[in-house]
Amino acid sequence: MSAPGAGEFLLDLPREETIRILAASPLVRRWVWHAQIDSTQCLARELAVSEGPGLLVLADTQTAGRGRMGRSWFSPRHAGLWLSMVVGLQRPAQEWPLVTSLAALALREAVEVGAGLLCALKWPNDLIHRGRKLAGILADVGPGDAVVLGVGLNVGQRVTDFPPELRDRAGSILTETGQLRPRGCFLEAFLEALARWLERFEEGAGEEIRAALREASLLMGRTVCVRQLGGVSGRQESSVRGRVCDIGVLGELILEPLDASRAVSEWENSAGETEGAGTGAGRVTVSSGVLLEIDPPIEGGK
Amino acid sequence: MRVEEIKRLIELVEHSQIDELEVRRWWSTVRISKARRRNGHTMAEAVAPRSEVTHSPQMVKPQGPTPTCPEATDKKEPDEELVAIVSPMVGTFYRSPSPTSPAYVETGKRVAVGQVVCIIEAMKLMNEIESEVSGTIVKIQAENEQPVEFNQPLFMVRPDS
Repeated sequence: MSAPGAGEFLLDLPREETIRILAASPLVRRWVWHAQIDSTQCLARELAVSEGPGLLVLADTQTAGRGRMGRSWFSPRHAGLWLSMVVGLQRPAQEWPLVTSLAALALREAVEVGAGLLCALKWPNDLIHRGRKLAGILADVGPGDAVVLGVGLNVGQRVTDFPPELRDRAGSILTETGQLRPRGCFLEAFLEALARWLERFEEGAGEEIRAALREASLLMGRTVCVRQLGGVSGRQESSVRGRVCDIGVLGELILEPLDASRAVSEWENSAGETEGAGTGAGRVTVSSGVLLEIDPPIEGGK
Repeated sequence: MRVEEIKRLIELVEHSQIDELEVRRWWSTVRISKARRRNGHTMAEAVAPRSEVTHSPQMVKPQGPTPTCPEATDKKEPDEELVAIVSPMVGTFYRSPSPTSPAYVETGKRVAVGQVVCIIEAMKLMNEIESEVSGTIVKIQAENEQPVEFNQPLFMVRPDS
């Protein structure tokens, strides 16, 4: 365990206070803190093999924070809550994709508790305020009956801290509230909310979780165009445009397609396993892909 | 579950009064049923009921046509026994860890037990699929970055003899 010495601050709180927060969480059995690390997710995945569930990796800054599919995540020093944790799961593995949505719900609550800021969730699990992304979540399966959950929450970045090309799409607690708040407070609220949502998940409270996801969703009722990632290379038909009419049992988007194209039948095939998701005839369930368009647009919205 | 173990289970059922045997080990489930016997062979079938499904690949050793991997028996080499690596969940199939990285495996290349062969993603949950058999990739059954279904064969592997 590496952490600042006694009397120092950890995540902007007195060290003893942050340690108390970590000790109080049922999700944390052992924790590791690094001033600088390439990626909390990479270290957590390495350590997960020997440590198992209950491991939490925290870092003050990441030099190679991981986004989806090799994309980088911008995580400068002192500015955010960067963590990865190994979460043990009892539910059947086919339900595990819902865990990233549970983390998004927990992070949304943490931001509300910690900063009084009500964000919305943009599928699959981005935390959005005024059209700006404040947080990202991803997860890796394993080892064993566990997932390694990675969370990045922007707390103290100023607008000018973001690369110019991201400034209209990325934000932080500071840019949205004008106030700097201790990262440890968001950690405490996040761990508390995540433990509660995971408990409901294990209890099989799928409908309660779906209701919360519907309520938090930025996209419900909007028209979106989603492209399956392979759609660019000569398979333009693998995109679908439709109105978001529901959230699926795994947190997926359920669309009423606006055009009956080949894409729809293909996507229906891929969605065929999500029985019970409330999909009616012609509806499409989307668990993976890229949002191309959102109408009406979300800039400055919810 | 290893091919050899499945073989032993098939023999066990074949020479017993048991009509059907389902064995679960970690995330693999294999059901062997006499009731579905065809051409005198007992069938082994990888099963994963919706409530019991899995995040690690299941191996299917075809003994005649099976519902899970109908292409398992190559028409040109009807006697060749291939093992399918199937998708443990609905999601998107990725052959490489990032768009700029080389693919994990290629047709004709060897794979070892525990070697990562692809990623399946759903809801930003990345599932690295490991081979449970050592052998040679004979065919890649799914297209990169395209949706795959639960239990869909992703790779056909010729196991080491």
